[in-house]
Amino acid sequence: MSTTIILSGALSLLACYAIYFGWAAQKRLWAYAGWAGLVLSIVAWSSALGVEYGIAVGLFVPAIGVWAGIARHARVEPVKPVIQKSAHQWRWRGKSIAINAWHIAYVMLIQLFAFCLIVVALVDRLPISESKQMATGAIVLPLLWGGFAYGYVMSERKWRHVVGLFLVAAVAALYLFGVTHG
Amino acid sequence: MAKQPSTRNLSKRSLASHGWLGLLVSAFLYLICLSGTVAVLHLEFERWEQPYIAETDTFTIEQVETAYTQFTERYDDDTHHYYFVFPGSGVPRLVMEDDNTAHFVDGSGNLTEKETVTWTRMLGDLHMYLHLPVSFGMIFVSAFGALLCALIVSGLFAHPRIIKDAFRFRAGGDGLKSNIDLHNRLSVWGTPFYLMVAITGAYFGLAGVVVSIISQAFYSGDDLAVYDKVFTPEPVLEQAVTRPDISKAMDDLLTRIDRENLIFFTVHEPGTPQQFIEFFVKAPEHFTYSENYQYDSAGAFLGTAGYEGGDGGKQILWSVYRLHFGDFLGMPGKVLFIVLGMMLTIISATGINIWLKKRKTQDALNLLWPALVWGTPGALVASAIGFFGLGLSPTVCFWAVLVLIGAVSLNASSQEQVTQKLKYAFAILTGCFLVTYFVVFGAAALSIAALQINGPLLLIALWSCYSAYSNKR
Repeated sequence: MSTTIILSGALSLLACYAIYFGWAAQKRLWAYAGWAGLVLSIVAWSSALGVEYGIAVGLFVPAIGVWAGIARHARVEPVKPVIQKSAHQWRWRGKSIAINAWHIAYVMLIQLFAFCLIVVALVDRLPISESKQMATGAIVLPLLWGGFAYGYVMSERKWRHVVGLFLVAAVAALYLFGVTHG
Repeated sequence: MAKQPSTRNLSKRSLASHGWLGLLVSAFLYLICLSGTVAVLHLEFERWEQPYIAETDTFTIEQVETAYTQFTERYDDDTHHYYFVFPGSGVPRLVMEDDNTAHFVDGSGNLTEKETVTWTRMLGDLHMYLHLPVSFGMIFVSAFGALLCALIVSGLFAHPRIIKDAFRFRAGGDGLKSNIDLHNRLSVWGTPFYLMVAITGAYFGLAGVVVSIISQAFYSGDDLAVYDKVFTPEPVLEQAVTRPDISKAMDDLLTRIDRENLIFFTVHEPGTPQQFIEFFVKAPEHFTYSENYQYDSAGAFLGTAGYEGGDGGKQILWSVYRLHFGDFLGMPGKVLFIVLGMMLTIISATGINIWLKKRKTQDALNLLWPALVWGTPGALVASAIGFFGLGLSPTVCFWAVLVLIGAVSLNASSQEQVTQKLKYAFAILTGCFLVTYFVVFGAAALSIAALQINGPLLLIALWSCYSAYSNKR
């Protein structure tokens, strides 16, 4: 097993370096070979450690492996003296504080409960066992919440998000608490 | 070719969204990431708290029986569970415990010293609920899992040169470019790990909220009914109230499993007709925490819980712990998770560094942020000094020192000065801690249980000192 682990590790590192080389030399073939090598390394890790551990390790190791390329390509710029900036003048801006407080409450509190309701209602419709519904919900909930939090903060028409979320959450609540489940 | 305006606009708005979300979570996320990274070694910290306890990789059924008898005779207080923990738990010690008390067990099965995990629990509590009230804190911290997902998505969309800059790193300068490059390189390549940590982290606190909603909607508020549907319900038993036949159950169990995979067993509802024994056994090559083997009071095998090869959903939910804490593959897996966790910690620190450096003005935040970043490791070490040396609450010590560091840093002339002084302070505190530890534990401070924590800690302190000295020059 230790031989296959060493080989898998070597394959991961070589693949990362091939991607780096393809990037640095502008040679696409090397980059494609590197990405293919990374996929192969996941297979190799899976054969060394089992499928579950292998996929995880194969996906996580490149985060470290690429630093050989990053370190090789690093450029050190001369240190610049620290510029003394002027002092920030704090002014009480009630409206700005209120708006940001609302955004925080919406993103952290309202979206939390809204997406819990929505996800529970959604996964309940899935034709799978309760355990699988719960597992699906556990994966989907933070992604959905996070994705919509990003969309809300980025949006220029935030009220649309708020109204849309309240409507969908209301439908989900109605489905969960307003009808009798067999 | 110039970028399409819509792409540029998306990047710009994503960056604004990323910045706002980053500021919102900054300090909390940093504390959660740093404490989580250190907490990967929570089992090692448990050993480090009592380094003089004899360690073993073996056990006998007679040892278990003796310990169980002694424990139940000594503690007849109200408990719903008895536990016996084996070396397969990751801690090479034997522990007999109930819901309130835990004792180590010696080679003959006699109860010895009480187990204390006060400092380790402080560290775990900091990571899981930031020392806030538990129920609120767990949900609060889990919310950061979801917001971390938002940061990952917005960060990727905010990065129009994601391919062009894939390996770019510019050190030096005024520090802005190096912070940006470090933040972006660490972020992009570690995305699979950060997503996994965010999703599994969100699960711990949000599961309770989701279960409450499901129980109110479908089970008249009965949370246990939901858990029984999702996980394996406890067996329904009607039997005479007798002492559980642990020997018979273990004799049978050891024909079914490799004994080194045995994590612990629980005697549920002791002294009642519903009493049963449940063995938690590691499932090699699977993330699932354990496969559980259930036996009745007479030691007759009832069945397995199906966490290893049963329903896929059940397996996923039972896998969250090992996946989140890197508790698989032994020490190599932990080292991998520490490195990746440290990368996420650096991302949360550099994110605010970038924001501070881009600002045209400066204020107390410029001093408080490096105080938090470089002061937290020192506060953790100070909490250990307070706990081991003076018997103080590590939680109180940690926060008191962190607040003190923040207050003192406000007198500094620049953030560079705060960083440098706190690096020195960390090295000095670590030195004081190591002396305290040696005084308290004597020769036991040279045991593996102690050195596997104190050795790396000393190296980090030396690096910290060197780094502060280099910056000075």
